[in-house]
Amino acid sequence: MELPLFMGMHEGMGGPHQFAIDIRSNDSLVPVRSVAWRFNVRDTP
Amino acid sequence: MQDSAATSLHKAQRLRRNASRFLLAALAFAALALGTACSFGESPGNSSGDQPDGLAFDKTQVNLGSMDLDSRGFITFLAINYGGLPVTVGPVEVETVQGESAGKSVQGGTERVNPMDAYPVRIAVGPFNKLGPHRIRASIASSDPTAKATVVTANFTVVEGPGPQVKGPRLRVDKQSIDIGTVPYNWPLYEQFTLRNDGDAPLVLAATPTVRIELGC
Repeated sequence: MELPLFMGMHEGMGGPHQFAIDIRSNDSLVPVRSVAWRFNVRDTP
Repeated sequence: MQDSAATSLHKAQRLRRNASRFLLAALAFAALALGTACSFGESPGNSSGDQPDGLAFDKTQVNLGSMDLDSRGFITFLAINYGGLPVTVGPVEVETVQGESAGKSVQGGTERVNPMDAYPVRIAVGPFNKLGPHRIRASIASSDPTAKATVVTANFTVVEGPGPQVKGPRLRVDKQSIDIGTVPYNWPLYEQFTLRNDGDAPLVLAATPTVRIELGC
């Protein structure tokens, strides 16, 4: 199963970004598994 | 509000149904769902920025942090045709620069990408045979004379996986993090995590995955 992530941008969005994606399931050992997505937007000219 | 920011598995199913090709407009629209603190909705082609005139990729390097020894997943590079003519993308040649043989292209031949279309080039990775740092490099050929062979790289460290399995459903994610470094302003971004059930009972995902903005926007 694939979990795609899309992202556009808006003005003033320069700088570092980090998103955490929490995936909840019936896995009793790890009910919430978190993954991270990081990027740094070069500032608007 | 964060719930509305989540990326839904419905999108994953839709992506599969649509195979591997989709419009940039749809990509921008999908971004609306990602976060309320970010005012998405502007098409990648509509505002000023660093857009090239021709074939471009959402990123050319990515750091995936750690990956389990027995994990399997994909690294995705989004090819975007900003030019005015159709181009072909592929074939893709993958080589392991560091570590043991770690990746192979999913794409067999070439794919046509129309103007303002995007195509995700996928490289399959894992399972691995060796612990430690890995680096793979791929050369993505295209018919665009300005991007005849785009080189992309991925770094990650292979670590021991979880211990002996216990009973029940077990959610595994192919990678814990994706760091693509610095990207230009006005650039569409696309990533993909692969989920699988390593347990011995059906895995049920509870609701829609939630996206939290920890930094930025």
